[in-house]
Amino acid sequence: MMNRLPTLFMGMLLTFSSAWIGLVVVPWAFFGTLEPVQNPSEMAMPGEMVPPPVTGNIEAGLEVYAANGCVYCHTQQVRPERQGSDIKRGWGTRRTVPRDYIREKRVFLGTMRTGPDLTNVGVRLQDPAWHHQHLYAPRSIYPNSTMPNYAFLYDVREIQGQGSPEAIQDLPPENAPPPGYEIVPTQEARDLVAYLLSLKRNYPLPEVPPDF
Amino acid sequence: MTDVMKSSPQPTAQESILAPQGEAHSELLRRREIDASCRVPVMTFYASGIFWLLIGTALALLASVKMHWPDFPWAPQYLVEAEWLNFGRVRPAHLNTVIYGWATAAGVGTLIWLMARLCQAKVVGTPILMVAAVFWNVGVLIGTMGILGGHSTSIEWLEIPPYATPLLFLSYAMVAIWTVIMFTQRPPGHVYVSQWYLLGAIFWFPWLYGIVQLLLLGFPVQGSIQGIVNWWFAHNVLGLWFTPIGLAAAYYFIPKVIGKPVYSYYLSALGFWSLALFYSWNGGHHLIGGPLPTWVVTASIVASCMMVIPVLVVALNHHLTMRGKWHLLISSPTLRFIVFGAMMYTAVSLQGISMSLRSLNEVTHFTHYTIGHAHWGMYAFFTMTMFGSMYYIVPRLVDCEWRSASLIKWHFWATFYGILLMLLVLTVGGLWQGFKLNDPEVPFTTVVQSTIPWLIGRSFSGVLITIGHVVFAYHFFLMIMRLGKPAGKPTLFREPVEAEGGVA
Amino acid sequence: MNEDPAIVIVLVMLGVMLAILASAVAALYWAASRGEFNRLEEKSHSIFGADEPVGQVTDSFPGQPREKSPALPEDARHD
Repeated sequence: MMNRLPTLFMGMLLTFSSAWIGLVVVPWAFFGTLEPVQNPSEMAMPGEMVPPPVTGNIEAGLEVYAANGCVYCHTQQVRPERQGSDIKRGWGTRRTVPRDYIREKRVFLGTMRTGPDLTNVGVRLQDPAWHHQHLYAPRSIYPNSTMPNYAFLYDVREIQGQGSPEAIQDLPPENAPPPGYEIVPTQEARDLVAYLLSLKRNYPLPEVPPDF
Repeated sequence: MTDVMKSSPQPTAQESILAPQGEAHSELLRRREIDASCRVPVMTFYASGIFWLLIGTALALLASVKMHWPDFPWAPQYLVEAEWLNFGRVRPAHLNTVIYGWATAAGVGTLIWLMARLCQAKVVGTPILMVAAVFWNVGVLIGTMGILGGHSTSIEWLEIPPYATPLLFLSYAMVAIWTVIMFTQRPPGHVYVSQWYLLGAIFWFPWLYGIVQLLLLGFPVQGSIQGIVNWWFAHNVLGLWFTPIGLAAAYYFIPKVIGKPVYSYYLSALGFWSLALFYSWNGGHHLIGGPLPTWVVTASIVASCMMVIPVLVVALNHHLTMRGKWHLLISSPTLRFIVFGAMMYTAVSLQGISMSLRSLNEVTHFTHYTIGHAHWGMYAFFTMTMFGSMYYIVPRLVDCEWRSASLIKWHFWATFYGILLMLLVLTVGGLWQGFKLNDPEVPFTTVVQSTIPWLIGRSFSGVLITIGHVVFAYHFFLMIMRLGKPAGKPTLFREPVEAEGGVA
Repeated sequence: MNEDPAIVIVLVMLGVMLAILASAVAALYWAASRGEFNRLEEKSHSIFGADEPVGQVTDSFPGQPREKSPALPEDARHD
């Protein structure tokens, strides 16, 4: 068919670039520069912007989330009511939309639900102690869980004085530290939990009708 | 072919039986010269590819076992507790070692050999290729260690941390430049369909890789557009890099091994351009229901459906080429692997098209079904095709035959049954998981529990595949050490035509 | 937002792409006018030669005899 190198290359570039423009550039031009908006909820304070900023501990926790591959088992997207059981399972009150993700420097939509969706995990599970125990020993909470334990994000150390207020309590015997020792989160674990607690995409947005 | 002479004196006893003469003889010498000129770069890419295949397989087994036995108490606790062997790191390390370490290196090795053959020219610029091979392997090594060390980007198919990717890009650019140089060496008037595919692949991939690196890691685009860019890349790397190389191999080796031109050259042209036109629009269908405007996803679904054209064209063409020659599957290892791979290409493409339909996607999205689909494409199609190519190419480079027919058969049957079992358990198990996930009455922990038997089946299939890989790596190692059978007729020389039926 | 480097990159690439698109169309027209699309079927024979002619099976398991060729007379002898 094509017998000359330039022709071949032009053809390839033509097809490739058309897809690139269609799938990357055009969407980007249409909704690539969304801004946070004033929270439309009646209860919101004036100047309360949604989505909330991702800074400090939360931003550091996002890095821990990336480094340890949480995204391979947990999605962060809620499909519309009519698709799947996402909303019926209580993973969200509305579908997620592009604006939900504009504050994050890396977006973890995910493609696999070996574990539950985490779009609103900070709404469902608000207790940091629960998260620390669950990360340290997932099967101490859900015996059938297949989640890897993230014990390496925690230090086992000798109890000093009254012990750390952050130490994980109530571990079953097989996960409990030796007598006189306690299990305390490292900074990475604190950051990760801060990030998880920040995942609350339940605020209303002007572009999403409720129950959609 | 009546120009083969039978009268001139023969130099050695062995060659007197084997070597043809006249025009055929000079062509044979020329072909051997060209093959010899590929030896160093192709063997370097192949050997490093097989090294990464073994590493990637080990990581895969570990990740697979961890999915159903997260604490496996009977194993050394180090495997459970070590930070760098955590599932969330082993899984991306597996993906990147097999995609970049193995599949890409095997693909580049095959590309080099095919380009030299089809351009009918000796390899020029070997140093470029050797530098590229070194850069590539150092890049993959740093990248893998980075992922295991906790620097993964967690962007699927692009987990290699940004400090290693420039090396990969440079290496890739060098291979691309070499390919263009090689293409200019060809005699006028000969562009075979495999060459279009190879040129397409070599041209598309640096673009893809460069653009996504820029848009995801350099100056990250905003929000969920990252998702589009991510899946546009991940899908295109399969469709515009691995698929063209796999098809280039199939379009060369199937006709070449059976000694019959491809059924319709017109269809092969149609197949190439329709692949080029429609494939790069796919990818968005990974985000059906996701936080994106519906029209982006819909455009992607339409393009996915258009993929029926190139897929069926390729399938029909290969089928009609093979017609009347199926019995050669028994006697040719290359043909076995490649015809299996080509059939799997058709199957996986049709499966992929069906998965882009919203109704089926609603079930299969977020399940092991998708993982099965990825292995269907990358393993059953591409990897098997590369194995077949290696069985043809390696003996011609090291000047000896594969040592053992039974090792080849072990390799084939272990990987054949291994991958079929894996596809079965992941596909059926994935559908099962998807239906339960979509039923809000089923508690989530029950869904998790219901996948475990299927995942154990997957680990078992992984053991079979591992056996196949170890056998193949051992056999390949024997070839590097020149411990194969002495060069004989199956690969290096054809029997003179007159000895076979008196055409002359 | 105009200082965002990503925007500049995207715009530059868009321009380059459009320029190349135009040249691609021209190149295709040029190729067609030179008859590059003619005699397609002949090229499928380019991977065979005097040394390994049509009809020649070129691969088999080591140590096993290869199928006698030419297998099908019309394949091997029509040229």
